Amino acid sequence: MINTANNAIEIKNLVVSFPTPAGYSAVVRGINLTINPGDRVAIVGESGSGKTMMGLSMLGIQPTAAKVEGEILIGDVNMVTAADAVARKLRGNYISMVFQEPLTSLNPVRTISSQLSESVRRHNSISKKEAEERVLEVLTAVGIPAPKERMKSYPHQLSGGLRQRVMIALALINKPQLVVADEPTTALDATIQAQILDLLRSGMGDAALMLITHDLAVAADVCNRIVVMYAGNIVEQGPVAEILSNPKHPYTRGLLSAIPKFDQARPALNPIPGAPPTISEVVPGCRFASRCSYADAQCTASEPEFINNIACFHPVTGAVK
Amino acid sequence: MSPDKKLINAVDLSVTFKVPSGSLRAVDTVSFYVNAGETVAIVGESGSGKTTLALSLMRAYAPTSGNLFFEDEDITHLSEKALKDFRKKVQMVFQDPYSSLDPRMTVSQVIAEPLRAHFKLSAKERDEKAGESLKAVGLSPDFLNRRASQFSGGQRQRIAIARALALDPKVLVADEPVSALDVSTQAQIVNLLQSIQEERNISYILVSHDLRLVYHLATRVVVMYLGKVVEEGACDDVVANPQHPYTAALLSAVPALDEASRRDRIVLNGAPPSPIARPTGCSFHPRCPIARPECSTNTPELQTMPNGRKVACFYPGELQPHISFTSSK
Repeated sequence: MINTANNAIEIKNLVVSFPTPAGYSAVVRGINLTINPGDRVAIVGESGSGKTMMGLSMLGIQPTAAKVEGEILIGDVNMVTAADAVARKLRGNYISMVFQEPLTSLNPVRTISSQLSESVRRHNSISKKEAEERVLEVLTAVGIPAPKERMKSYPHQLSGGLRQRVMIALALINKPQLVVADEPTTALDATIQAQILDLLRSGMGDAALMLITHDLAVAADVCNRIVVMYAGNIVEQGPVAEILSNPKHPYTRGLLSAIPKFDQARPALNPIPGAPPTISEVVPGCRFASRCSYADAQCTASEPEFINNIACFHPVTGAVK
Repeated sequence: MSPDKKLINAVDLSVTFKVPSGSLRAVDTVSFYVNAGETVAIVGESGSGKTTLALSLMRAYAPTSGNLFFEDEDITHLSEKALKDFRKKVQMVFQDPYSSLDPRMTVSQVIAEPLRAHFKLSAKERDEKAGESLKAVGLSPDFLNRRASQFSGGQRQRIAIARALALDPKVLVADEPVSALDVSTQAQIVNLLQSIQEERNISYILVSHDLRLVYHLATRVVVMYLGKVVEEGACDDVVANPQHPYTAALLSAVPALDEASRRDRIVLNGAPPSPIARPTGCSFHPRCPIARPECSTNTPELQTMPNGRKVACFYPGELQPHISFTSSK
């Protein structure tokens, strides 16, 4: 049996790269991250930050063209080098995933019950009836009304919010230690998003949560720790309250001040100038330097290391106005 | 506010679509206007009819009933040929600049297309106008010969805005103009839209589900639920003191950076019902936290309150969300 004590997952120097005409380009550039049991960690970043590719590699389901290096440790198993059979055993059972668009992630021609029971029976040798009992239990736990009737439904017969609840039920059904949720509410309406955020915050049982999102407010809403990624690197991390009240990395500060607030004075927003580097762009020094108002010669000469929860030569203090 | 300032004015507009099981009234007896230079936001969830309303205000859909006026002229039944001047004056910016721009066209072709449709200009004059339009959105005229596919999301949305501005419109309809963009570039586009409005006194009809964005940009807000307006008023007023429980719930659902808004969140049950199987009485009653028995039998009319606010609810103002206002002044 796999020894899964202590951490839910430990990532060491993870690099994910893709072939380009100019050789391999890294989209995840040497990430270290530990998630403890019961943690709710948000990975916040914009498109191209590498957050999704990191999530997919944690389950070993990255695109086939991707090259993954480093260690993703689940107990004493390294997902990067694990044999397919071992990775399959952990997937769904120990670590599972919730995707953004539930309609494309569920099988349209099979009932909810049949899809969920399959997942239970793949990992446990139990009868069909016992599996269905577990399905009913988990559908009830994720707040699906009339779960017995819903078990017989097909995905297209459910609303977007209910489908996302089914996705979460599917992720939780084998009582995993860690659920990776990638933008689980982006495709949902405002009032439905509020329902699902509630569920992610307090309905995940003992599972740790890694929530991938571009929205700091969603991260703050659900999680207790925020990890900010930019162009393949972790640039800052900390407890939610600290990241919100005293963000130190200029990028984190930029993200916070770019969001419109309910501010009666309606001050002009403070955008971050420019755009993130593209995958094949070679950037000397700090990858945020060209967009950063604090950058100087040091920032373009060498890349800051991630020390004391921040990767910046010129950390800033104080609240963002 | 004199009525002659109304640019677009819809009176009791309905739009009905035929569906296999009968008919679907996507927009149900909605009155709407936009004055010169103001921003009116239409908010609501999917299926609320907000996009259908915006498109029918542009006469992209022919209204099933009601009337549509542009600068006091009734254009409800005008032919496409007679609408040509209207088309020039009302332009649109779409949500996703990856699908709204043809990736194989050069920027110059993208911006020149509406110019070609409406003016007799030489190629040189068109290029000049396209260059001016690009400058107005903060891009260099040197980009004219590049293809749309070479640009980032934020730059593409600027190009889409430049295309809309090329005809010097009076009204710009923007359907979720920043929701497909990254957070750091959203603010760039929002600021751009604001400065364009200040320079040109253009009116915006903003369709959005993001109430923080709506609060930031809009002067008035119209809240829709299942094809009907349930609340309407000055933006400041509606956000500070929502009268309809649905507005309260929408405001409360905004993901918040502060603890208090989260703790006191109003979470609605269920999802909006299908507009084909509309509930009896008030359409919102099955999800409403303050519904009474009469709400399922009687339909509340949209009533105008003394301060000009409109609300369709038997118990206005009863449900209030917790919103953390900040003040930079």
